Amino acid sequence: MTADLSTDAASYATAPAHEIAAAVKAGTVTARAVTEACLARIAALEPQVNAFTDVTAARALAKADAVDAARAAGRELGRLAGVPFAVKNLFDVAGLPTRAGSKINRDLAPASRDATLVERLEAADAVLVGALNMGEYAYDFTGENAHDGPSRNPHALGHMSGGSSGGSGAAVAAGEVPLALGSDTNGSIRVPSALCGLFGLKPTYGRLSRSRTFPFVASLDHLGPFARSPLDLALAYDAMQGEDPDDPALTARPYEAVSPVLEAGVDGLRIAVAGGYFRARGMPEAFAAVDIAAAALGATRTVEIAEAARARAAAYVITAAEGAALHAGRLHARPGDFDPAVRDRLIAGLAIPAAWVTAAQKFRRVFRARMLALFDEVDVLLAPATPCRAPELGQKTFVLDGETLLVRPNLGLFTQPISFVGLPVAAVPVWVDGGLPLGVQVIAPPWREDLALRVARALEVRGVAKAPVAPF
Amino acid sequence: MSVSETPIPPPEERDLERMLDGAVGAFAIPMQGEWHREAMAYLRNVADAAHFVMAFPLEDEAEPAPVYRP
Repeated sequence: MTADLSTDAASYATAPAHEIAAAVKAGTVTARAVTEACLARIAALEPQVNAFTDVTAARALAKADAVDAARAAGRELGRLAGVPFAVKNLFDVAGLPTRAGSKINRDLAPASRDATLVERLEAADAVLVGALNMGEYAYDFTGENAHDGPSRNPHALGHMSGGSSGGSGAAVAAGEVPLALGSDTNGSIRVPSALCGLFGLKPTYGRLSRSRTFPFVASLDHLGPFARSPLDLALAYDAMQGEDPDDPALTARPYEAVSPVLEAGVDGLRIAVAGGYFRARGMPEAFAAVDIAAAALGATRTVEIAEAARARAAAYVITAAEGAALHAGRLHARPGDFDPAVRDRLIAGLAIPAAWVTAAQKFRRVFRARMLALFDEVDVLLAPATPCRAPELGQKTFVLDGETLLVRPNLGLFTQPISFVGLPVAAVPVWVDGGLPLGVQVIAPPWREDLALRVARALEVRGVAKAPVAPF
Repeated sequence: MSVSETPIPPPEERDLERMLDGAVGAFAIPMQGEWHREAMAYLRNVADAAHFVMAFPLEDEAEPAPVYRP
């Protein structure tokens, strides 16, 4: 892989968000220089990575100039001063149609206003540089897209980035941006974080506003950040919390900053490995990654998460039904314009009886109660994020425990039961025996993002977790 | 025989065919042949998942969680 990035500014393009913000605040570098370096790197790498569907260069440079002007005027800059970021293209970006990975949505009128989370990051003086590739309508774990082509895994360009937030994972792993936003309905932040070797945060359901983003499954949709360090996740998460009357599912819970407690360590935390369901149907290296993390944390206990398989089944039913209901009109009017793999699943979803969905929603409360009881005994759980490393692009099946399974639905078999009840998870990148990265889910009780991120940070400090920029 | 001792059997293929055809008609989907085969395979997967979920003995009073509060 070749790309001429050997300029001084290039070092800022690949720096973590907290270092960029510190440098911009200190006046060591201007936001414009960082933004220009970032845009140059995007231009150089996109022919190979294909993470971006839109680059908002003029807007980014205008925002960067505004940040620099604010500093010159003596205003205290925000926590993400001059930090370039990009968002999965289901987030509204003023002036762009919100395509959500589809062909159909390109015919929508351009968004008139940014998504709430975009507004909040820019209010913290971050700089939006573009919108990112994703699986069509977020019904995907691969990062492949029938209309825009696949976002490619920067650590192995012939392999999947993971989905559906594949562009988000690819852009951060390639060092095109230090920070990206994605969505996670059944694992779409955690799967690409794992396959691309990144830190990712799926917050508690209802914690971050989803307003002005294109939905998939209202019962299960979450939004969250990708980054190459837990501190960057914490800074972004803290910038994005807060009330928003435009999202009826948003919690009224007060703002709780996690950045100040990130270095609190793990002493006294009861950390356990998820057993049973979470130790089967995976490649040995997926479990080895969990074991490495557990050993580094001194976690020796294994606990069973009863009914995890049924939780996944219920999430599958709810996803199929709510996704189909969302797209019924488009399936009627423009079925030929869908990605076939998405269309056929959505058509099947239209046939689901209400009794199946209601049972799944009722079971959700049962599983929630069991998980909350488990958290009386432990503070944090560790589980694999995916059953394997990044499959090759176009790969349709893999063999897990001797059973041939479809890749697309089963990359998320370890993530689905957890998001089913909205628990916060930090995805942590672990590298085993020199191969492509794997991910470990650090699972915490509701509203305890601080615990998940503290553990992620401890693993980073202990050298077990790392998210290097892919070499180009 | 009590209700719990007479579980609902999983739907057979012909039942799923009827369900899919009914939905395609009800939503006026201009279906093409190969789409039907793929959609049937997915509906079979959903039916299996739903059967597994419905095998869990939920109380009649159990509340669903359409807007979920963790």
